[in-house]
Amino acid sequence: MIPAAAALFAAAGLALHPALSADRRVWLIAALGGLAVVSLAWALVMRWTTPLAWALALLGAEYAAWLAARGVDVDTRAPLYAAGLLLTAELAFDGLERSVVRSDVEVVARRGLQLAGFAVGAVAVGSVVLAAATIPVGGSVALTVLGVAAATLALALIARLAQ
Amino acid sequence: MTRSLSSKLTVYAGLAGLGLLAALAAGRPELAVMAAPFAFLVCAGLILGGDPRVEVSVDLDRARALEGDELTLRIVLRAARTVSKLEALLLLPPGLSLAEGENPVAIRLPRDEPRTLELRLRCERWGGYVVGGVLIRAQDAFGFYAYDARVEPDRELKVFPREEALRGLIRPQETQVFAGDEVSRRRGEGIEFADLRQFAFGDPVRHVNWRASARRNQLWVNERHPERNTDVVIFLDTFTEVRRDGSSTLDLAVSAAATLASRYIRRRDRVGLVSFGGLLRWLRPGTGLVQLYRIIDALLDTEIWLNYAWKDIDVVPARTLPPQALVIAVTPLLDERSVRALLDLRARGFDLAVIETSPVPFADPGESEVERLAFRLWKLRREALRSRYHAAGVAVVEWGDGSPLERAIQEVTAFRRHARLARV
Repeated sequence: MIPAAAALFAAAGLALHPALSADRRVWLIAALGGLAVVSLAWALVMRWTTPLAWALALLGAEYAAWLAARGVDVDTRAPLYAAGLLLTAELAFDGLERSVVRSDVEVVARRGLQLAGFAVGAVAVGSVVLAAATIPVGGSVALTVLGVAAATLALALIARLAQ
Repeated sequence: MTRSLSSKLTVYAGLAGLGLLAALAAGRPELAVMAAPFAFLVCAGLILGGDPRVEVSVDLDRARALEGDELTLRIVLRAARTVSKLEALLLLPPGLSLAEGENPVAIRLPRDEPRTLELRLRCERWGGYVVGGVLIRAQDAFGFYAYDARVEPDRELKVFPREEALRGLIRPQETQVFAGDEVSRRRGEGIEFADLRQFAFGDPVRHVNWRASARRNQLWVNERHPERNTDVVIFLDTFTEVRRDGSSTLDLAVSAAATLASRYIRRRDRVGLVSFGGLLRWLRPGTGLVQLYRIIDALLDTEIWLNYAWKDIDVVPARTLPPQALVIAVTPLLDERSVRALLDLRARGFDLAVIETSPVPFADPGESEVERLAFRLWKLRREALRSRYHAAGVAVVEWGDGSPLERAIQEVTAFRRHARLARV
């Protein structure tokens, strides 16, 4: 119950920030955020993964819409948002689990530490990626194709490892 | 251990891919930043994950217990890799319940450090159990994979029915030839005074009753009752049972049978068992502790087997029912086959007493007038059935849950004191 409530709280926070700070397309951003929170609540009540995935994707879409409305400036708080999204996802998956199994205190304490570690790690990884993205290397079609190939390769690698 | 993929992995991989592609399509590095932690976590989880190879061993502090006892079960867990969350569920058969401890429970299991889960189990019902079945689920640190295993139960536990306290037992009409604790109705060497008779050639001098001899001016000797053993056959009716709220007529019957067998064997009588039901089982009369364990083991395996075949007393092997044996039937008097078989036994001259494990408290009288009428008629039919036994000189006493067996034994004894044997 506690992880589910925390996940909803975190999702609401993530949804509110872009909706309140947007100058344009406020209704679209707010609608995306609201849909994400409702979808997450539905997922937690019904204990379904599919609406949860949709909720996370909608939060990402809301952020993307907010970025598009914002202009060309790079959002330096993106690593924080990424950490928030990861925390929301982790808490939501914890909330999906049936609570019939009573966890040891050690398990709960270590899980709390792990979540904190994930958040810090997400900020660190996000900052590295953001720093790498801001290095001026110029843009070209070849580089974009290389990026798409790298992304596809990464996904293929993940799929291969998961088998 | 069986590995299964969590939906979390799919969702995270999907989000990572979607974010990276969206970042490329929109030309926004922030979206790649958002996707990066998910991608990083997926890669780390896939690389670091692996079968934790959890070993489970289950130990019971004892293999025998009495109904109502509590015993300790220990589950020792050991893993080749650290498991951040290991869920363990002990599978408890019906008849055993958890008295203390958590089941299921989630723990952290460090590598090569065994952890022991201690659970207190309460033996709710008599019977033979195989315990120790455990379901375990180990999750990797990132929650992407679950490793499941099932440990099959292999610890045998016998829960004996709790004995009732008895002050007296049903005295058989005839005794056997071996020494025992039952004062025989015959005369011979013994302690209990029986009668006086005139001295006959060969009588030992120590049997002479000097006071009576002096009064009558001729030698008179004391006659005594010898102490002999008896043959007791416990006749358990297992054709049918009535069950309600976890208790049944069969439970009562087994408890009574165990108590009687134990008490008779303790006084050196030979005790046999006939389980007369859908499945016929028997134990020839014997004495001693081994025989007691044989009987208890047979009782623990007692079950109701549905069978429509007509059975009478002829199917019971002759040597199981020795002549002059006391037959104590423990029956709910519900199945016509056992009712007939008992009357047949009586007709063959066996000394019979019936302890009726009354099904009446287990039956619902109903709510409507018709249902209550049917219930009253059913009770009247049972009364009529008891009268048939009484007419044949057989003591039938009702015994139900909550009342002591001692009361039923005393009722049988009182009936037999005044009843006369009748020909059926």
